[in-house]
Amino acid sequence: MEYNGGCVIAMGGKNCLAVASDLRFGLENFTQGLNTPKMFRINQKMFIAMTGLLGDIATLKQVIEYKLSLYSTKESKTIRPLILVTMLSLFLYQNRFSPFVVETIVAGLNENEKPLICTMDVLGATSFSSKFVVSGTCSESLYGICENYWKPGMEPEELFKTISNCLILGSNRDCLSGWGGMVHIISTNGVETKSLKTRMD
Amino acid sequence: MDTVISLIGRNFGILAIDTISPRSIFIMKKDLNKCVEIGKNKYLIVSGLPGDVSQFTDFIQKSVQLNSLKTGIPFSTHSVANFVRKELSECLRKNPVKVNLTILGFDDSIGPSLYFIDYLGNLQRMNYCVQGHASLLVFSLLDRHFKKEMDIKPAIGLLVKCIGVLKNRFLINQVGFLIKIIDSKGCRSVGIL
Repeated sequence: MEYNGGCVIAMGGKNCLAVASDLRFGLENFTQGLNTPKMFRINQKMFIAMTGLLGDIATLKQVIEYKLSLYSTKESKTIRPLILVTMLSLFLYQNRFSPFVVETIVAGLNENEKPLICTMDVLGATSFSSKFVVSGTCSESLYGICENYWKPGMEPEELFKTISNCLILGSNRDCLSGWGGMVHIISTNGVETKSLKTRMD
Repeated sequence: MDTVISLIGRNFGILAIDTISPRSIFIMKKDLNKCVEIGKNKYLIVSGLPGDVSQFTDFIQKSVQLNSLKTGIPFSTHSVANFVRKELSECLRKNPVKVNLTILGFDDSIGPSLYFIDYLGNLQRMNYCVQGHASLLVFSLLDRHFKKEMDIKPAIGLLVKCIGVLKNRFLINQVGFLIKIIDSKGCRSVGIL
């Protein structure tokens, strides 16, 4: 899990959602690339973010895209966040004895514009939260910081400031994460993407 | 371990690759060409365990050729890179192949592109890349001196700097470096440094 490094946060606000990740691509202690966000857009209101082995992240992303195409063709509608969580959880457990070495976060807005955030471990065990979820090499620091700064009922601008602060502060001390950051803010108006300036070390 | 230094310039891609074939403490062959051409506009360089290298290189080269014959469409660099990544990813859990690859290609629509894939299936598109133990020495030099859209002469100058550092400080005497360029005219060798 610590081979490539990286960290991801997802936070829920008032009818909005924010997902942030760092941009480092590393090979153990060596930083090979500075442009690898670990978040992927599923549809207008959903994101999937993963930390762990980058090869497995890429494979899992392609598997999800494939399953979603099949779903939208069969059901003729866009998938809801809870359905995706269940599908992903089952798929991860199918590889019980040779698991994908990734920790997944699913973040999406429901039909009633309420945020749904969920994290999964390597075998697909889900854990829903109404506040925030974190994943990555510096998850302990991120848990502490987010617990401190998260407030209920945040609007998109305040949510963006909070999640950016949490990402920067949490990944500062971790050598395997950082090297830039990216935040997606999902609200009823659409998705806004912003880059963060962090310590480049 | 092989050293491959590759960069993207203005409408061309250039790489420097060492030419020795070592076996334990001996140099078996001093003038080995490790670049494999895929199609007319892509270079594939594979390094790692010797048996895995030759088997995987042949497999990729012939599979891509077969697929482009079957479909009648020449493959782009992006598709070749993703195809290799998928094969490595599947091999990881069945019959692990310990190879790292660099793919440098030129497409008429996109221009030059450079991909690095490691043995776990991590694919990364980059502007400059070093593969091998030499990456510890050369990467920071490239971070400092690389500029986007360089012309050929400054790019070769930068490669000369990198090779100078290796000849000064790298334990293994990599006798010569073969310089290859890919641009709209195709693949060609420039010389040996």
